[in-house]
Amino acid sequence: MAGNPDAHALSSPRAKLARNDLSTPRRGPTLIRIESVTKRYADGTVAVDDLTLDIPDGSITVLVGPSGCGKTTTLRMINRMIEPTGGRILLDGQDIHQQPVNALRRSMGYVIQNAGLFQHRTIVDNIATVPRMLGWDRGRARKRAMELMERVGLDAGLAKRYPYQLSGGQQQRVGVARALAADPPVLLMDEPFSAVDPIVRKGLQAELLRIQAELGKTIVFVTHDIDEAIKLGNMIAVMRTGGHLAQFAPPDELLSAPADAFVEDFLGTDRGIRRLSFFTSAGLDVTTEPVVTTGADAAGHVLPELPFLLVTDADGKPLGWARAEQGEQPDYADLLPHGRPFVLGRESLRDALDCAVLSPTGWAVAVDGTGRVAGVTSQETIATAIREAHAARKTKPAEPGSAAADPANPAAAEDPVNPAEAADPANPAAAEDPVNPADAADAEAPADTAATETPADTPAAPGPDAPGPDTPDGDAGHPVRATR
Amino acid sequence: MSAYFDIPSDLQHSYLGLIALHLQEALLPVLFGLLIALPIALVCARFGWLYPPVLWVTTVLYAIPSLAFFVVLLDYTGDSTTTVEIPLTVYSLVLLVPAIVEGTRAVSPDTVAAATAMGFGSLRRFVQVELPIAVPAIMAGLRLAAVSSISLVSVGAIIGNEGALGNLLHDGQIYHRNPLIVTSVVTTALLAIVVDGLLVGLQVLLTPWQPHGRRAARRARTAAAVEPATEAELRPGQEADAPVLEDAAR
Repeated sequence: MAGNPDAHALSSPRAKLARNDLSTPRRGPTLIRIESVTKRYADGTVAVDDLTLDIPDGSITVLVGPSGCGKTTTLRMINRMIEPTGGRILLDGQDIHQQPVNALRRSMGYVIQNAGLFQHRTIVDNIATVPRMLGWDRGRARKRAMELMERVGLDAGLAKRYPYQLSGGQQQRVGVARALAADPPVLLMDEPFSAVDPIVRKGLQAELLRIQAELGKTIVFVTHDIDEAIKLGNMIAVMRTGGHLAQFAPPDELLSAPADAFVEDFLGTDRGIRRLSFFTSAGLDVTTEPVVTTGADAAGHVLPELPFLLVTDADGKPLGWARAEQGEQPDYADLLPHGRPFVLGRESLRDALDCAVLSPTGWAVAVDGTGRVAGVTSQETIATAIREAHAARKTKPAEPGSAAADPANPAAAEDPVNPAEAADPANPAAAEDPVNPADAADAEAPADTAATETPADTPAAPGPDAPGPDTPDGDAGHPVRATR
Repeated sequence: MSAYFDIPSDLQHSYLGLIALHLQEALLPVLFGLLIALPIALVCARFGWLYPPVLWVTTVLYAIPSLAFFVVLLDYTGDSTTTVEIPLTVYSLVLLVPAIVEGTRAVSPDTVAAATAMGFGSLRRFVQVELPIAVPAIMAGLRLAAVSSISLVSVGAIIGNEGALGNLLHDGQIYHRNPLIVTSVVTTALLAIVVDGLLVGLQVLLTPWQPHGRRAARRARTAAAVEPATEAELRPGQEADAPVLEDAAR
C-alpha cells in the first residue's frame, strides 16, 4: 500500500468545469442548508421535526426512510411546494422564503416517480419546457433538448414522439433530461426510479451516476430503498417516522456504524458484505504464477495450494481452469469454466470476493480493463485485503477542510460485524472524511479512460458505471466508490 | 319528393336556409357557452370551494323549462333568434363547466406536480398544461352540448318563427303534411350525427398526443376499466345517441 499523500489535494479540471457551468453564482458554505425545519400540519401531524441538514455541494445526498418519515416533505420544502411551519432553508446563503417562488423552482430540476411528463407535448418540447419559460427562443431550446436527449441516452428519433409512445424507463429518462434542461445547479429527485422494473432501474441508476460524474450537480434524492440509497448516495440521511433524522453519514460509514437499532434494522442484513463495495480491489495481491497460455509448457506453474491452472488464449483472455498436479501437464481440452472475472482496480473487494466464492476452484480471476488476465487470487488473500482495508479506515488521518455536516455518532461504537470498526466513530474527522487515503493510494491509475474524468479525490474507484463523485472544493467528504 | 321538400312559404326559408338557421341557433349558444364556461372553470379550479355552488346554480338553471325562459325573454329580446339562443347558452353550461373542471382535475397529480415544480404559475399551468390535457373530456362535453342543442332548437317554434326545423315540424302538423314531419325529424337527427362526427374529427386533430385507432381505443378502454374512469377516457361513438332522445323529450 504505497502512498500518494497528495491525492486529496488534486482537483479535477473536469470537476472545476462542471462547477463553472452552474448558472447561479455562489460562494457560500453549502448550496442548500436546512436549518431546524419543522412541518406541522393543521391536524397536529408532524411530518418533519426540527430537521437540520447541510446538503453537500456537487454530490448526491439521499433521504431514505420508511413511508411517513417526511423525506418527500423535506424534498418539497426545498423548492417550496410545501412551506415549513418552523425553521428555514437557505439556498446559497439566502432564505428561500424571501425568493420569488417560480424563479426559485426554475433554478432547480425536479424529477418524480412517474416522470410526470406533459402528455400533450412531444418529447423534445417536454425537455425544452423550462428553457422556453426562461425566455430562450424555440430553436435554442430545442437544440439544448436534443443535446440532453443524447446525454441521458435517448435516441434522437424519439424527439417528435409523444410520451404515450415511450416505455416507462424512457419516460423517466425524459424526466431527467427535462429537469436538467436549464442546467440548474440543484436537482431534486423524488423516488424517480421506483415505478420501473428492477432491470430498467439498475440501468437508470448507472446512468444517473454517469451523468452526475459529468455534471457534478447538487442532487437531493428521495427513496425508500436503502440499497438504492447506498448505491447512489455520497451522503445518506436516514429518517424515521415522525420526521426525525436518525443518521446522516456516507454509505460506507452507515454500513459500518449504524447509529442505533432503527438504522441497523433498516439497513438489513449483510452490512459487512455490502460495505465491501466501498473497498477497492486495487492493491489486491494477485499472482500470475498459475496462469498459462493454452498449449504452453506448464512446468513450474502449479502452486502447491492450487491444483489448477488458469488457461488463457494467446491474447491473454481467460479460457478456463485446467486440473493440474505438480509436475504434470494439464489437459488443455478439458477446462472448467472460469466464471465471471473481476476488473482489478475498478471493481470492489465485494466483486472480487463474489468471483472467488463462485469460482469452481475458489480462486477469483482478475482481469484488466481490456479483459486480459491480470492474475488470480484466493479467498484467503481477499480476506487479508479486507482486514487491511478495515484497519486502514481506522487509522486514516484527519482531513482538514472536511465540512460534511455529519452528526458523528459516538453512540455508534457497536459494530457486530467488525468490532475493530468501533474505534472509527471516536475519530470524528475520520467520520467526516470517508475517503480512504490508503485505498486511494493503492490505485495504480487504472487503465480505464474514465479514470481521467474522475475527480482526483476518488482515484481508487473510477468506473464508467459507478463514477466517483467529485468534491471540487474539498468541502464535503465522499466515500471511495468502487463498482457495485 | 316534393312532398318532403316543398317548404311552406310561411317559414320564409328554403330547406337549406332552415338547416343554416337551425345550425346557427344550435351552435352559437354552444360556442358562447364554451367562452363563458372557460373562465368559470378556471375560477373553480383555482378556488375549489366555488365548484359545488357553481354546479348547483348551473343545474338549477338547466331545470328551468325552456318555455319559461322564452316567456321571460320575449319581453326583452322579442321574437328573435336571440330569445332561443340565450336559454341554449345557459343549458350548455351545465355540460361544459363540469366537463372542463372535471377534465382538468383528472390530469395526473404527477403532471401537475411536475409543472408546479418547474415554475408554472397557476394560470399558466391551467392554460398550458391542464386545459390541453383535458381536451378529450372537454370535447366529450362539447359533443353532448352540441347534440342536445341541435335537438332543443326545435322548441323555438313555440314562440313563433324561431324553431328552424322545429317550425317545419309544426307546419307539418297544422297542414297535415306528414312528409314534412319526416323531413324535419330526419334532418335534425342527421345534423346531430354530422356535427358530432365533425367534433370527433376536431378532437383527433387537437390531440395528436393521444392513442387513436381501434387498437389504441381498446387499450384505453382496458385502462379505463382498471382505473376509475374519467371523462377523458370516453371514446368516440359511445355516448352520441342517447342524449338526442333524452333531450328531445324536453
